[in-house]
Amino acid sequence: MTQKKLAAWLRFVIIGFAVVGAGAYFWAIPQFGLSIVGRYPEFAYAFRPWVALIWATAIPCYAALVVAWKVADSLAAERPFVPENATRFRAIARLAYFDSALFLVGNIVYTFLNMNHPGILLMALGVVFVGAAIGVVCQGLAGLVDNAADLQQQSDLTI
Amino acid sequence: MGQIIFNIDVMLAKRKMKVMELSDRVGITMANISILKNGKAKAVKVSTLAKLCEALDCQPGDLLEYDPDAPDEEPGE
Repeated sequence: MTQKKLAAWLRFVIIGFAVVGAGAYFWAIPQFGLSIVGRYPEFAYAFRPWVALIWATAIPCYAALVVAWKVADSLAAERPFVPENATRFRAIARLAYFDSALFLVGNIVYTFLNMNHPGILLMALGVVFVGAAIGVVCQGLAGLVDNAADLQQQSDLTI
Repeated sequence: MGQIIFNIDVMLAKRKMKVMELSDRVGITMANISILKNGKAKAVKVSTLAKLCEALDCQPGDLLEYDPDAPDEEPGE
């Protein structure tokens, strides 16, 4: 697969995540919350705080998609092994760590405020683990791209 | 650590040759010759050095000079 094709596929995946994410964050999850409130009106007080937390966790996700788009740009320009891409992968890693921490802290706080269920908190740990894993993978990629960029520069400056 | 300097300009003047002609004879681009002259090259292939010596009718020692007092620069600085 050429780098231009890879860049096109990466852009397709990024757009896909953005569209599906928008559907989940701004329709599916609020609808799910409303259905719970409809069945258990005593939990109505928790609806807005939970939607606020979920929407807050969307911000780092979309920021990561913007950074990933720039990686796709450099792939399309056939310059994958540049220090800027290592920086971008580190940025995505930090966003993933922040998002995981935000979601975890939010779940714990809501548990103490009696707006959460221990089962939900347990499931949230799974989501936090996935976010942290994405961070670790991106950090590893950043290190690899750093080494590759060094080798690329050595190669470019070998006459 | 000092720096290796490529005295390409000196040899071009001695042989009364233009840079473009050297580029054509050796088969490397003007940009790469510029990288050699500016001291930005990270490495030089032995085959490239041999082609330079053949084109300029000289020895490697005529082209290469070690300057111990040159600042240790990384490309891009």
